[in-house]
Amino acid sequence: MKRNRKSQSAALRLAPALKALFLCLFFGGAAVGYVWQQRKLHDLARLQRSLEMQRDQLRRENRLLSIQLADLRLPDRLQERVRHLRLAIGPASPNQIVRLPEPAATADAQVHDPLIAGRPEAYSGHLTTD
Amino acid sequence: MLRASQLRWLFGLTSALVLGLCGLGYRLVVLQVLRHEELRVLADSMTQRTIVREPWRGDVLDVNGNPLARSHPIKHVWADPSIIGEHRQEVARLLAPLLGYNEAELEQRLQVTTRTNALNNVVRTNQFVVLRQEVSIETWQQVTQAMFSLRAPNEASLKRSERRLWTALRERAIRGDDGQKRIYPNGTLAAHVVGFVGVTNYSINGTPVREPVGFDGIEATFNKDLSGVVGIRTTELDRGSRELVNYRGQDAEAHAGLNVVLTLDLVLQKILESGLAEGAEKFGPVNTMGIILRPATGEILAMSSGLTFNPNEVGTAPMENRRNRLISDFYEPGSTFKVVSLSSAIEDGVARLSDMINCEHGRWHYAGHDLTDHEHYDTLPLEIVFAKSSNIGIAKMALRMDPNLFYRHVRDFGFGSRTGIELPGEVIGRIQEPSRWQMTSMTRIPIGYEVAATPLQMTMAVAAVANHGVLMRPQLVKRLQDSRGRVVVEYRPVKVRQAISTEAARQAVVAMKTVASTNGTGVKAILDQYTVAGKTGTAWKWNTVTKRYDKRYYSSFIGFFPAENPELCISVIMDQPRVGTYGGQVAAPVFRKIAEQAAHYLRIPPDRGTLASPPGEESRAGLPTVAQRSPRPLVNN
Repeated sequence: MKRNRKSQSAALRLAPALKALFLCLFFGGAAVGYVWQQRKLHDLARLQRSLEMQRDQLRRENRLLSIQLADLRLPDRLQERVRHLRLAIGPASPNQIVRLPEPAATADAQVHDPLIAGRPEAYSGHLTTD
Repeated sequence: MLRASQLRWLFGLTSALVLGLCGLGYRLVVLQVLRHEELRVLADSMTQRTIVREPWRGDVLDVNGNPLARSHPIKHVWADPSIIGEHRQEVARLLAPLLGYNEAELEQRLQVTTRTNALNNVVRTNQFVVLRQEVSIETWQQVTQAMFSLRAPNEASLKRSERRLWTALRERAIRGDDGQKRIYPNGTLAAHVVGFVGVTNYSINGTPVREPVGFDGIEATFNKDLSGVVGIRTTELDRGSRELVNYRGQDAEAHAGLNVVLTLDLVLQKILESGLAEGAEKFGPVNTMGIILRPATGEILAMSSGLTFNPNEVGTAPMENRRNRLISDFYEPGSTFKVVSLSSAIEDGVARLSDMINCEHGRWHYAGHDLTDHEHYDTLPLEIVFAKSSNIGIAKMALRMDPNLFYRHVRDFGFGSRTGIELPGEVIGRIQEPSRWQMTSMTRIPIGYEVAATPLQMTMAVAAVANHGVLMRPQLVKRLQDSRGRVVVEYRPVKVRQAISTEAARQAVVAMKTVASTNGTGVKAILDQYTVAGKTGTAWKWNTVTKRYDKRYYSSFIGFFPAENPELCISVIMDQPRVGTYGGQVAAPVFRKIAEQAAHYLRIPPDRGTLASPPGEESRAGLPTVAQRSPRPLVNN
């Protein structure tokens, strides 16, 4: 015989209520989560956009600065600046250049080299052993 | 039980509901099925955008990294009159001086124009009015600052909608699209080598793209490498035309073009152009051209075509000034071609430098025609015949050669074919096959007539003699590198062929050294610290109207130094000098001036002359100064 519904206990009626509650919480939470996620995506997109703009701006500035630097390094510009600041510097004229002929590479050239000859033996390559 | 009236209501409501649903269903079918494509396109056009990101065009740099051509960031400024509305007078007053407009004219441009469409609706037609293209970043900053300074009186007390209008006016009424402008910081310097760019317009997915394209010089030859790759982003915009980043689709970054590093040296280019300009002022030619190159590698360190233009303002120069005459014009080289003839004769074993040749006292009748010299020479050794540039002597020497072999040597030296320089517009010159030669051809071609060559071909041929007989391909581009300086492509010197044997080249160099001595025609090309080998040339110009040679000349000198171990080969060609005639008179001193400065700049070790010692010091480390050595003869041959 079926039990009368009115005779069911309170504990037994709580279960479907809880189920319904969890279901509601789940769907509600999912909806709130979805909205939160969308908002977060939106915020991040805005942040990304602003950072990209900032990066592009920095790239442009970098470009401009590198152009300025290259301009300052142009030989003409350097020469003009030297003239303007009266630095009196420039390439050495031919009569200011001393060119030394390469000495012949002979075996005893090192020994007769006045710079090496005056040094201790250890420096001229003749090591002594006890 | 339901009453009849209730049933009627129920039926009526149900029918209305069904009809309504049917109507909606029908509309849905119309929108989603029948007009799907049309509406999809309309919807996409309202929300989706293709943003084309222009790549930076690569720079053209000299061998030391100095810029010869580069791209500056600029803005293309445009206005949306629909936002400006009634404020156009204020906007015009602020922007007219910055954008170079007359105030009234700018106000006129900012006027909203309307038209009535097919549906009888009034639509605005000018929401995109270009105000100025290629505006500098500094000017653009001033424009934006000026626009931000626009304020309504008591703006805080305005209605929200009005405040929005003012904000839109400040932020969106005047826009600037990013762009780039090609700048040539050295103006006319090396203009023919670097070239110039124009602009081409095309569209990607309906988005207009404005791209610089090389029209001449390296800009044209290496356009593909310099251009880079366009970046594309497909995305969606909101009502305020702001990008919705999270709805981005395709997103490809733009890749900047590669930098082209040339073999050209800016300082040497300046030395060459200044030297040529000085020579032009002194001798008054129609034009002066010159090249500096390294014989061992074929690297071109400087080249000047004379008549020039400023690539920053291409339109202001006459069309003929844009032509690189060193590669696109050919001329009869005259006596400089004797280098080829002498080398060929030595190579074939039909001549030696010690051979005695009768120069017929300056006039020789051969095959019904007279051949003359500028001086009345008697019998001379071939070396002196060459040094004195006797036409008769060289013609007699050439007659010993087999014409077919001589023709082959001429071709081996690169005449009649392109040198392969990385510039557009090179011509091959002209040398006919021996079967078409006349009786006199073997006396005319060896002295540089009946043959046409570009100045570059002639210089490369002399450089081949300097390079032990090896003809090199002229090299103008050293490498391609990215914006961080990483090498992407490295170009190496290319040997074309062994034009003549090393021994023949060596003997030719001996003869060429005599030219640049007191015994030769190139006495004004002698350098104090270097032994020069070279050849003078004075060629009559062919008059295309009278079909005769007239008294106008190409005067030239092509030489290299130090003769035994050449570092530089320099050619100087003057077209119709007014003061002086001979190459030895007008081109040789210019060569000397350029060579001295170039050698000093490159610190080429001298092979003769005086080595300086420091003031007050006789010698160092027991080594004698060159001043203490026995003096060497000026001519070393």
